[in-house]
Amino acid sequence: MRYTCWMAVAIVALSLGAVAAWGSTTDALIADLAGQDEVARARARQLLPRGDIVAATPKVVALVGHENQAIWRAAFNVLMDFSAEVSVPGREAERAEVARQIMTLIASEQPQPVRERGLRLLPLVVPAGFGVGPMAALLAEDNPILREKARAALEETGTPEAAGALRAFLPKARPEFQCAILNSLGILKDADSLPAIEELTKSPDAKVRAAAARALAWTGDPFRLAAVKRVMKTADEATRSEVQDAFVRLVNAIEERGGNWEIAVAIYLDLLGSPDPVLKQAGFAGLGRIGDSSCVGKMLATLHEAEAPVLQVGLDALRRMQGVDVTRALVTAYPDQPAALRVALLEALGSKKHPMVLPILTDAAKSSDPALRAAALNALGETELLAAVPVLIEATGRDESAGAARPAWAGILRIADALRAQGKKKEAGQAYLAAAEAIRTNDEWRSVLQGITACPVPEALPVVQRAAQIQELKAPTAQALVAVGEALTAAKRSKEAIAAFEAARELDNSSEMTKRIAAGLRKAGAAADAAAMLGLLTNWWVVGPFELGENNAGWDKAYVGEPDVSLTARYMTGKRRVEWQPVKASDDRGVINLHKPLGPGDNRIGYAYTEVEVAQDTDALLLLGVDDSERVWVNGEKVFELFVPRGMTPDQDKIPVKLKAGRNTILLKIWQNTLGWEFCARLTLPDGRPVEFTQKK
Amino acid sequence: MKRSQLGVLGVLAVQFLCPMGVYGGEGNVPNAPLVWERIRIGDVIYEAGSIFDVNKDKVLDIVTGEYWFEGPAFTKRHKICDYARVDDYYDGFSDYPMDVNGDGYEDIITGGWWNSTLRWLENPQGRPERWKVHDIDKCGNVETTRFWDVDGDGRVEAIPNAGGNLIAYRLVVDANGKGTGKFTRHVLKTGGVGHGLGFGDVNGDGRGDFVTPDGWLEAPKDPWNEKWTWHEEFHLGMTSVPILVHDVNEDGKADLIVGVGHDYGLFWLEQQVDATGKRTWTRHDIDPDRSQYHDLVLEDLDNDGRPELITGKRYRAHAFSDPGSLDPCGLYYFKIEGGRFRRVTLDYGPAAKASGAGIYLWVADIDGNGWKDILAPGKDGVYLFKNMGPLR
Repeated sequence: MRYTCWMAVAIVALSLGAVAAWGSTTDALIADLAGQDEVARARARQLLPRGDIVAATPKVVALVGHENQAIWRAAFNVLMDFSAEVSVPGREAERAEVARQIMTLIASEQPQPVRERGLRLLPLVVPAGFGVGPMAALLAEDNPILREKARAALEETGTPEAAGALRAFLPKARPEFQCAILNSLGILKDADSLPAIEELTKSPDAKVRAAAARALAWTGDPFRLAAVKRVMKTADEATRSEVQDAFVRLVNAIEERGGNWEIAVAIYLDLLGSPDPVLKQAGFAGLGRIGDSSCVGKMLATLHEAEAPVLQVGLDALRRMQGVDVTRALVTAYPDQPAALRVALLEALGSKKHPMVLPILTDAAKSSDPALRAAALNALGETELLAAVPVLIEATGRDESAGAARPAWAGILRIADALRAQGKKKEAGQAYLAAAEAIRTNDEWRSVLQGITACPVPEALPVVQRAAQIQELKAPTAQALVAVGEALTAAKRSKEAIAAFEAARELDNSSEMTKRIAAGLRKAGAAADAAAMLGLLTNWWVVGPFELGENNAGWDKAYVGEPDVSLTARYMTGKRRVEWQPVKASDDRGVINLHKPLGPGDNRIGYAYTEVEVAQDTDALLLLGVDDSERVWVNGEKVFELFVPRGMTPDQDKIPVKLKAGRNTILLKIWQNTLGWEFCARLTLPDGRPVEFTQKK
Repeated sequence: MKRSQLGVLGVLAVQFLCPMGVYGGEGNVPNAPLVWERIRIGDVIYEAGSIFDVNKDKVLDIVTGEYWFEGPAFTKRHKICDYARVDDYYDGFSDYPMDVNGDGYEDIITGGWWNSTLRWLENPQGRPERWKVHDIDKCGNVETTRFWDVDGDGRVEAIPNAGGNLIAYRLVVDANGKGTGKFTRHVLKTGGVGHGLGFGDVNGDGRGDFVTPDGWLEAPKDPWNEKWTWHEEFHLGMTSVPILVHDVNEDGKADLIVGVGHDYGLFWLEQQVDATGKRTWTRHDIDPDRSQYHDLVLEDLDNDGRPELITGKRYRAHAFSDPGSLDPCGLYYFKIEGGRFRRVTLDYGPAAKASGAGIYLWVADIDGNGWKDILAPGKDGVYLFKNMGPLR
């Protein structure tokens, strides 16, 4: 018990000591803040916000009026930091105390610069529920600078009390200042001010009326329309644009608030009748957002005489308007429009992407008027409807001089791409097929072939076979042939599918494509060995490992008596006896992993040997992929050597070799540096087709 | 728009705007539209809702899906119970208030497509507790449930549009007329009831008949003990629930107002009876170009003594697979003027900005200002449209 008491006393004493120590630290930091040592002042700025802010605030506040700019600025910045630190949940009491202390800066006995500094600080820290009397009092200041800064500070403070202070002073303010306060109340969206604001729409001062109208705009309240309209009636030259802006803002807010579509739309429609192009555009923009079929007639009538930019805004609005009823209204009204507007409307019609517009667009696409025809062809493409394709095909067949061919073709491709993006693969495939009928350039071919590859349809075979005649298009055509072959297989048209795959094989004998072709052929019912089609060497004998040794001396040491090989021979490697063992590649690249038969390890050498028989003398390519690298003998003659550390990539070494009719030997000496140890090989003709051979098993 | 641009042609603009024939003049505006204050209720997306005094504090509250929102602010919400969530559906397609157990507090009757069950949710007498869920019947997939006084006793029965059958669930009351928590089940038609259901006096005999997408079921004198007579007189497809029975053209014969629940269209069927007594129905389009009119309500919104047709789009009624599902959302009422319908739009636009009507909307004067308000639930959000009366 006694011990416990002593402990308690000790803890209290230590705590008091710590408080006292911190107190002295605060004083020291305040002294640094007010001192001449810049480094110490900078340190004090950083450390003060980490200590007892409430205790430090009055001392820092006292420095805000310091004559030395460096000192008052530092103090000001520290108070900004204090304000930020305490303006968080859980520190409400500290925040209120800091606010109270800073509020003293705007007291009447303070010099004006200090009061202005206080007004800059207060919005950062004054919380909701905190009295703003001293700030409000400044609204009545004769000094216009202080008065204005107080207003701005109250607006920025934004609490109910701040709004209340502005609201209370509104009727007492002189007209110029009333405008500023009205602006603040509008920004604060202070609903309690609305009666007073509406009252000021009757002010004898035009500027005040305009400001009041603007302060009502945020409400989106249709019941405020009458007041704003009243201001509009009495606006003078100087305030007219502001009042119009307020009116448009109010209507926009009505629209945004929702529920009063009829009112917003009626006003937007009314704005179309304005002689002011800006108001016209405001009307069109609003209707573009929320208009429906009931608006179309007046919008079109307004566009009869419209010029840029109203015309563009109006047409854009018609494009943006959604709903089948809008489309129907446009289609119905179209024939009665002036010729120039009909041309312009085609794009809007196309944007509706509805079959309802096709008769108009089809008719226009056959017009003798080049402008109407071109617009129609573009619009047909924009419909993204498969039903538009026949019209476009017909257009592509017309005389080039008519200027119709390319827009028509681009339209078909656009439809095809759109259908593809929508996941309508069959329709897209048909559209690509249609586009192929009028192709003129290889670039166009590429677009179509890519499309057919993504959306293959069985009917595409003749088209793709046609593309196969073009040398520059080999790769995309092969891709398309494989895709079409797969589609033909799915349609149970095996004979044509096999023809497609065989044609693809003629065009692209890369490993990846050959594998796909082989798989496709098998699925179509044809016998196809991918390994044979690739010329893969899959059966090997391997022996090792042998030491690479110091200074890579083993690389030049004939461990197996190379270049001659006896598969029955045995060799000593260290204290071990090794012999040739057969291995077979199991993956579709023909890869032999030497770690498996020869064991793991680094800095070593292994050998791989195989024999192939060919029917006749053949110039071939031995395509090797090796990790790390290799020396190669064919029929006992060294044909290649590389000694670099690297990973394996199939076909990374392309070695021309001469194969003789009958048996040929291939011996690889393979260096293992570290990690992977593997290789793969195949034999092809120089043009990439596989060599026909039998491999020793 | 830049403010500076507004100065251009200012004088002419004022001349234009001041005599503007559009709303906003001084005083009352002839034929002025009603002004609505739209309020989003919470952040919920249930498709059904209703308005009643949940906790008996004499202030109307809003009930929607798993929550009720305390009036008059509707910002404080209370959990009712969990609803099954399947894709973007919540499995509750009505929120009808009925004091099922006779304790003086309104309970809720609902039912869902997914669990095929008609249920009542027991109000914990306004206390902040979860509501106990009671199954009434496994009646089949419930499209929505409607509440009509089938026998004219002053109390409504619950009629789910469910399972292809027409079944009425009648609350059992005690000697004091108080609910007992039990329902009796009355099968009025077995099979053949598709997507859609209506109720009203079709043949003018003073009794309420049922209407389905394929005909109407004539009520006998004793609806619970006598046979109902089936008249297969039309084929309407997947209609709204309800199909409204209303004398549209004021010729003394009931007509039908029909929404197309999962496609484009809103129309009415004019009833005509020739000298031989043969009945025919003639279709008149009201709005062929908007889709998913799933719920229809007749109420007098503008206090002219005549009901308006209140409806709108059931947004994502079948996700985005219904025709027109990507078209704008909208909430409307139609003035019915001598056989013609004039649409008045409250909201119209993308679902992020405009409200639809959901599957079970509610109309009531929630703030007591004398003008009926609309609660429009839906996957686009639950909105209260407060009717502020005509524009002045």
